Amino acid sequence: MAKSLSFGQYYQAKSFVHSMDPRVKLLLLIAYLVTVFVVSNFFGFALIGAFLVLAIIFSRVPVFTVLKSMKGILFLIIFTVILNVFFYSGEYDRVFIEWGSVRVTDSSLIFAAFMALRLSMLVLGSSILTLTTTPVELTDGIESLLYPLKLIKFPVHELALIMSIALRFIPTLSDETQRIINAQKARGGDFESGGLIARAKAMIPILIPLLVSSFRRAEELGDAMDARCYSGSKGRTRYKRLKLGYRDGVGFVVFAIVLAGVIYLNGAFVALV
Amino acid sequence: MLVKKLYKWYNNTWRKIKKRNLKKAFCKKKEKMSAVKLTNVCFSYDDEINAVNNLSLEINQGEYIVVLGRNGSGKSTVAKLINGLITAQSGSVEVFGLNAANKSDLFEIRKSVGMVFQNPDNQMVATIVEDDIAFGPENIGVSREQIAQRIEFALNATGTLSFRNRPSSELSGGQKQRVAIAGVLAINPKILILDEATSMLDPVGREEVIGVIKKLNKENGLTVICVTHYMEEALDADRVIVMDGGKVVMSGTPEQIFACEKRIEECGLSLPRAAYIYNRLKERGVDLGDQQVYTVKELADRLCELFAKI
Repeated sequence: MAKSLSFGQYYQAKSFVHSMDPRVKLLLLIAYLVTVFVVSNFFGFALIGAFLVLAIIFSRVPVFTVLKSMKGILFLIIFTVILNVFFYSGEYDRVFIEWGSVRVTDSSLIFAAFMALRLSMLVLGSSILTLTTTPVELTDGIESLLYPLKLIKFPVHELALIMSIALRFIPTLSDETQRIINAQKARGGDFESGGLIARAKAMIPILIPLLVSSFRRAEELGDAMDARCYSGSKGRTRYKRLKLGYRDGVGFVVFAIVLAGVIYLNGAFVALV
Repeated sequence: MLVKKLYKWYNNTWRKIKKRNLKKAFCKKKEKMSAVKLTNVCFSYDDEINAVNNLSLEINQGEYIVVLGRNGSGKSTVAKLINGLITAQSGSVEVFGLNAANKSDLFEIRKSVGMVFQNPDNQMVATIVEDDIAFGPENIGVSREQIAQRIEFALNATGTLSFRNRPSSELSGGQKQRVAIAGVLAINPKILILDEATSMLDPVGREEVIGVIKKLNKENGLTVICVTHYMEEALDADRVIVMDGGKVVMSGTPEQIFACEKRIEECGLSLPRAAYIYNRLKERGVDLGDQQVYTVKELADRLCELFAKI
């Protein structure tokens, strides 16, 4: 029944990483993603890999669950590897297979492995954030991080409210979708057979009622918000406040060490890319 | 001696005056204050048929009002008019002396009039119960410490303390609707309007919600306006108002209203089931006692008595 919290990927547990401030986790993820792109040799990846392993251990999420997040991107990784293995056109020392303009060389193999690693690191790192942070925490974190944009009159509060309402309505609308599907099936609707186009066309009798009912819901919600004195961000207070803890400091320090290490290794060894 | 006497006389008189003043103040408090006053209100959604037609109505503070009426009788429109969600085309709507037609008074009116709607799913803003209850007080600029207190109060008053950190989508209909009431209570309103708030609930959920409302009316002195088409809910009211065609057709205590079976049926409504059965049995000469029966439980008791006699 916990689908409302666990859509996306959230894995419920009590851990070091779970109780970190969502803002810190977001910032660390951004820094992490940049670092993954900065790395230019396998030693750097080894260090980042160590950081990932550490993060997974301290998040108490089973390794298998984390790896499962790769499923969606597996196709992309394989595709990238194949392209790079056969069509990489950099300098090379040895040629393994040559067939017209298609060559498999030592550097193309290395480059393909490098890209595969980079992609996996990106996905694994992001999934640690989504596995250990509820969507609600994430929106709170994003709102708080965007707060400085208020200076240039960016509607931060409104954006955050839109995000949180969207999250709130995901389970409601998914229930509704199921109800509509059942209602259409009961009248002989067929959503399983036929080709891609036929099946896409079959979605229309689901989408239109869903759209109409969303508008009706939106109107009712608007009335309910009006009735509860909503009048924009002006004069509004906030009940929840995010608090930084010692864990966040530890997170920053550990990541700073990794970053320093990566920069050092980048200089110390030959860049592969 | 004289001084002593004088002092005594002074003291006594002073005490009397004080007592009188106190009595006066007390009486003033007990004197019923008008909470909502509608005068000759007309409202139409499409400029053709008046949803509310020249309606006048006064509701006193602390009253428990149930508004009955068939679909399209204008009962929900009245609820929305009181809250200022829609504005009357003619006539005036006053809430604690504030006119709902004034845009500048609207915020104050909404602060004192809480409204719970039909569909519990469409009135919650946040995923987590606690965050949703905080939405109202946040809007009116209550400080963080006070919001925490208000949430505590609202959760306790509606018996939803155990849902505090749960997502609302995991709750049952009755639980969701109680959370919705909590969300309104946190704004600290003086009037609570329920716009068919129980119509999507199962019997258990309905009982939960009605129980909470009754308690709030009795213990916290909240004025309750309950718009419904469930006759059984009208039995708890201080005053029942029957609407039809955008007008108030009948008004009185539940006993007075349900004594006029014919008129109620003309308005597209029916008696509470137990009262209906009692009347039909009485017509056929079954002696169930002279006292009119309203609830199924009473009816069952009377029937059991009757069978015991046989």
